[in-house]
Amino acid sequence: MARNVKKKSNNKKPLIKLKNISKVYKLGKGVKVPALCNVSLEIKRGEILAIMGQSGSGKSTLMNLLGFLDRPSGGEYLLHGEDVSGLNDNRLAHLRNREIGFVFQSYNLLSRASAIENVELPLVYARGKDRRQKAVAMLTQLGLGQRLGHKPSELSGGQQQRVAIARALINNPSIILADEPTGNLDSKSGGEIMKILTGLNKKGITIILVTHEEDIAAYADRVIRFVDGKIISTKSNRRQRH
Amino acid sequence: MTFLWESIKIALRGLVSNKMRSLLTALGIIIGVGAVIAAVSIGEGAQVMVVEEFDKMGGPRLISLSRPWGMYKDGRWQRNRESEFLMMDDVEMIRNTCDHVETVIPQVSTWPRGSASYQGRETTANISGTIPEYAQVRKWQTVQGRFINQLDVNESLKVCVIGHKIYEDLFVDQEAVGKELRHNGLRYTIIGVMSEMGSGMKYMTDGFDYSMFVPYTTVFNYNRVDRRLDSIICQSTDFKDSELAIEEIKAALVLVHGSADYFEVSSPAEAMKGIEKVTLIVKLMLGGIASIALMVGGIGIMNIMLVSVTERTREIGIRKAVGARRRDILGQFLIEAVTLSISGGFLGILFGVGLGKLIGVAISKGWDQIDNWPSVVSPESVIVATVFAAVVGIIFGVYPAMKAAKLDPVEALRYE
Repeated sequence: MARNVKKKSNNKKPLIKLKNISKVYKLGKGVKVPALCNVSLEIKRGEILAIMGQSGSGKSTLMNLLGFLDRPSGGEYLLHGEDVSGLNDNRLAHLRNREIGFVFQSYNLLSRASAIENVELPLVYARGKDRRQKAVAMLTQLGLGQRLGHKPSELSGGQQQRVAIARALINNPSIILADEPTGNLDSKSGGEIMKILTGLNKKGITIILVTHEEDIAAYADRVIRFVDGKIISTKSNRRQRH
Repeated sequence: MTFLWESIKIALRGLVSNKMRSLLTALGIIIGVGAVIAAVSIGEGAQVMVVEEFDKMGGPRLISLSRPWGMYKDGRWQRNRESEFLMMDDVEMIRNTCDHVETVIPQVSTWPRGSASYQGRETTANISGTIPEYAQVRKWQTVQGRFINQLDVNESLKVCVIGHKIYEDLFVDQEAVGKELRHNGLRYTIIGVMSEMGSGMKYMTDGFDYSMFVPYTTVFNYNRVDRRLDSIICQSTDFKDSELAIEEIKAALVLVHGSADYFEVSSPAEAMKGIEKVTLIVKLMLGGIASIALMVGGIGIMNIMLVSVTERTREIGIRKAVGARRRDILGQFLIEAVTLSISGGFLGILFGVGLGKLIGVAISKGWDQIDNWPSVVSPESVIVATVFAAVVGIIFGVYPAMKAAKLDPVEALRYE
């Protein structure tokens, strides 16, 4: 299991290694649309990576593949050095549950559930214990101790995104996948969210940001740019750390 | 287990937040289950009522013998012209030869049936000449005085025990024991008053409260010099031995008369078997109607679950993104469908119990032959109804739930 591999693995090895990953969408009657062409990429443990590109450039497709929401049409995906490209639906669900925390532009919280219940959700599917206490602790840590029982509609955008982050963190994932995390927020709330994400990074969580905003990309250690399903440039920021 | 409970809680919350929609969806189930519960409760009520009536008359162990007035012969009904009658010889023969008959009671009436009078008041009174054991076999007690005893029989005394209606009509609420009553020109001394037999079904037992019991020997002496009996009541040693007892009684009749064909031998056990058969047929018919109603209800549930899956595509995407497996989603939607159908089932049971009571009351009020038609809701019918509702939920919930489980997470998350 990937989880065991994680403990044993050498920290110097890349957390994620993509080898010639491609993704082709079939639109019926033999029409095929390539979305990713032979993408190779290494993501180091503890790194902040920004993926940039126009819409349709393939960055969302890559995001879905990295987050195990979809399978590549070809190529190899190594997580903790282990090939995960051919796993079945249940194994992928397990990886999404334990290894990945998603943060979406539109928060994607369950509208009928309270903040606590939203944060508990990954623990429900992990058959975890002490779910309530863990969810309360996580929300309190993110400054939402007074908003535990509120529904998403009763929270501001910034608060909703913090609930989403709490949900992403509840199962101690190794990677946070953030898809335009500040896209729906004003600059002040957006800044707070980015502060939280960089803070998490300092605790060792790898962060992958998908964005088209340069000032968000500026938080990253490394920025890769996509055009037409291919990486056209990789730039390392000399970001001051610590 | 906690996961299951969690899912049920989520499902219930969903139902409550969409009260009107849930109610309309479950309506088919509610009506189906309700109709069946109501009908079954009325049917079982009828059975209980009939059994109670039989019980009042001595229970299922009773076997009655009579000489039929008419016979089907040469292709038509005609008067019974045979010269064989039930006599005390038959009573003696049955007593002596039938091992599975515990008690044998002769019964003889007077003709004309006549009426009884006391100090100018008059009422219907049917004389029944019998022996002391009669009261025990009918499980019937006196409320004043005593029933006739062996001495009364041996001495052919002109004493009588009157039914409660006769007492009410002639004496209202005064002491009757010791008074003299006139019946067809003869005077009888009242020695007791029977308790009220009353009745759920009047045609079966109403006449009992207008009975006037006297020793059969007295009837023989003053009224029926032909010494013919109208009927003989036998009580078998056990309900299960009734058939055996009937065979023995027929054999005894053959010994006395040469054939048992001149007489009718019948028992409530037979009648009760017939009633059970009718009840079974009614239940099966209702079951057929119910299954159609439940089918319709199930299709309603499938319809609303398909709508729900489409509406909640994004929710399904979110759940999958945070780690829900196919079977988690499948389970969740299946549990929702079953929760919906079982909730409908419970409402249907309540509806059906109420409806059954209402019908029972309506029959009792509208039909003067029946005082009180009980509606009996048996635990079995409640359990069967609940199980059926659950099965309908599962059968019609599977398809929408599979559709939800199969959704592609990427597509689902993109759904607006």
